[in-house]
Amino acid sequence: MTPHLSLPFRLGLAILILLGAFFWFGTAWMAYQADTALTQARALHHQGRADQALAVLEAAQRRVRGNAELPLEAGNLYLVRYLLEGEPASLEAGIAQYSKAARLNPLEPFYPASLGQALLLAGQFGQAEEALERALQGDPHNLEYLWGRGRAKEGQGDLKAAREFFRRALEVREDPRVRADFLRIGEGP
Amino acid sequence: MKRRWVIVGVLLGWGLAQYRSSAAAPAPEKPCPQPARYWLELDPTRWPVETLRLGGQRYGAEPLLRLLASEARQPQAYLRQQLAAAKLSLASGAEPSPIAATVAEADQMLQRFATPKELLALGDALEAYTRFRRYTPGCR
Repeated sequence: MTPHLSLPFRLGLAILILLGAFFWFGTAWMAYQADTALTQARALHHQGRADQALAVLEAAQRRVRGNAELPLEAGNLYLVRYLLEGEPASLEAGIAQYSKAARLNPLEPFYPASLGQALLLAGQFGQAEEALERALQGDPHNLEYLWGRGRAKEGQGDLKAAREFFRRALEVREDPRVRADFLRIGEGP
Repeated sequence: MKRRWVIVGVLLGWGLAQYRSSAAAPAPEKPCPQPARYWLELDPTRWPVETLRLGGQRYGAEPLLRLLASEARQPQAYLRQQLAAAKLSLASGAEPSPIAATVAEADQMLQRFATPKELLALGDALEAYTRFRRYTPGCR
């Protein structure tokens, strides 16, 4: 049986299909561009060409808006630069990139957690705690988020709360990083 | 006539599916962290950086090689060695988020007084990243 469709209906259907295809191609093209940029940036970083990797990621962020992986990767590059060279400006740039990633994908806890870890390094403990709290809402038994929250409490001078978070982290599993922090602040009463 | 359209439709669908599968392919995984021995055996010309800053002091390839080769478990040297391996791994693109706080802490600890127990504990935490890859599940 062949359905008989009137001309305006056929025309509308054709426009809808065209719009769908256009949208679909657009999304696929964006994903392709983002993946290509990530691949290039990771290869460049592996060769020790971090500046070029950052340039690739920043150019890709101008072309592809709405992809949280690109600012996350750029944030990681800035963070590594800070850890290697100790430049505070790199840490600030990293925080800006992680904030962008957390804004673009507020449902994935890894983004606010990365932001929280960078804020801890910058000594912005109140904001770090906020970000890590958001991450913990999405993944309440994550050892690294609990540990980070403990470090935020320690930075704010609340050693009792810090120990409590470290204890909770160690209940998830034994971890030498958390043990080292426990040792540093003392196990308390 | 009808068959021609069916063929065109099938080809178009196949082309789109191919395009989509290549567009959605995930970016390659990050390199895994590597232990001190790996960096010792790798020619320094192939390291991602020429110098490293450890605890506020800058090290060139030669002193780094001596540090990486050191077998003694003297607490400060051990922490310095593990920090060098962690920083070389980070410079080559390994995932930084699980170890960033520990690396920063180690850098600070090497510049102030710390008990041997604290130095060893932090060295162990860094070794768990580079050698045992405890914090990078995809690398185990």
